[in-house]
Amino acid sequence: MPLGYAILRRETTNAPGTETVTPTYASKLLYLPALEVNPDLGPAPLDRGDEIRNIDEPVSVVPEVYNPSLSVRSRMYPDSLGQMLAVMLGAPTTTAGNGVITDPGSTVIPVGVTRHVWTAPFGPTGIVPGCGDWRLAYRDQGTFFQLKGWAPSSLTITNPESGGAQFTAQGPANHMARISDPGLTPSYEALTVLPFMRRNLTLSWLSGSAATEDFTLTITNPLEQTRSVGSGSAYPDLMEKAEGPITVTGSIPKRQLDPDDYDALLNATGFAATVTYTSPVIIASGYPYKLFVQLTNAQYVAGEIDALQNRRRHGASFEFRGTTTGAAGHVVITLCNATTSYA
Amino acid sequence: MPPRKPEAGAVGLRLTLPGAPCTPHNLPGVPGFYWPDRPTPVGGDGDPVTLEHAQQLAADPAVNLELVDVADAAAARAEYRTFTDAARGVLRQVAATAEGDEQQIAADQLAAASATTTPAED
Repeated sequence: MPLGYAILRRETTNAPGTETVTPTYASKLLYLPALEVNPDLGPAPLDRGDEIRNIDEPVSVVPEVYNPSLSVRSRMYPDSLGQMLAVMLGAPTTTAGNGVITDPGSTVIPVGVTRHVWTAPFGPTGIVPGCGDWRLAYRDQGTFFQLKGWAPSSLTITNPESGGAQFTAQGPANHMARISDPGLTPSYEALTVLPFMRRNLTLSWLSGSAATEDFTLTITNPLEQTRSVGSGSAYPDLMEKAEGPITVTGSIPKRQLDPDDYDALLNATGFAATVTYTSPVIIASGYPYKLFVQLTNAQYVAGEIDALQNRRRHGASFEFRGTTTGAAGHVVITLCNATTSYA
Repeated sequence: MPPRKPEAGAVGLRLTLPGAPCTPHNLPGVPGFYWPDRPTPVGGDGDPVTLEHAQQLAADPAVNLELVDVADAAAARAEYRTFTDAARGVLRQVAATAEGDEQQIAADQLAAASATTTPAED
């Protein structure tokens, strides 16, 4: 078996990790059973080939700046998704199940289950977005990296027919260093804990909407990364929120073109929507892993209908966005799992 | 007073991974399953690791396991075996389903082959 692991931690200070700043971390530490973690140093060496030197050959480059980034793709394990949401949206409001509190489906949450809730407006307060720290072990190659100040600019949930529901996240990092072997033995949840799958997904959607062919959900986190003068580093040292709020969007291809969907696009009709994943795996007292994404006012913002052809089926695809009509909390994400805290 | 030497069968290994969910965990290269909220008994017959191995694991700072006393070793062993039996049952079920899928695919392919050859024979 090939060896290697990836560790994700959430940075908790208001100053994200940089080449010179080591942030403090949440105590929660996750060995992510990812499908792929793809770090990129993003070197941009200084090329002096534009200088007048009477040389008709490529001039050697020298190191100047680096723009590290990282993308990750993982199956949607309940704990893994929770850690990724905590990195991106900040620590959730966590309540231990006690036989009294309920989930958004009004089911009582028993002892042994913990409810984590992220409510819009998301993210840590202030100018600094939620950031995380990665340690990557290419153990068979004897090469190890640490990326500090990684901020996910997007998190996308997809639901392929096979292969399990998956999330992908990507974003810039402030620093990427090759480090010595951390020498750790990873710990993973046993294989008895399953990821959410497409067959676990139910949608409460626009009334009269056509059968849904596919569904994706994307959380977009506008970011701005810069280098302050005097930082003395080849790496960025500032990770800031950019203009615009964290937004939940998605696409929902429909098997058939339906007038209700088209009219909702035409009129920008707002409708309440709930995305629910219910795992077959029980946490405690018959209560399974669950994920809810509630949008109080989803709206179609773009759509494309199939061209009229000599075909029996004509579908349509719509892009939607979670918006607010004024009240806070236009999107609420609730994750019920066995993790007691993401703090 | 010197530290009390733990008796075989009366201690267990507990997961110390910070923030780990209260679910069974496995550590590649380490036999057995481990929880953050209850110890896995070690050193006894049928336990995943021997007491000596458990002490080595607990002493290794790179391994998120600690050696703790087990108040009721018999109950802990029974609970652990219930879990492993259930896990084996799940694996057997998955394996049987996969085998069934292959048989179904073969049957489907056979049916499809029959369906495509029949019109030609007509």
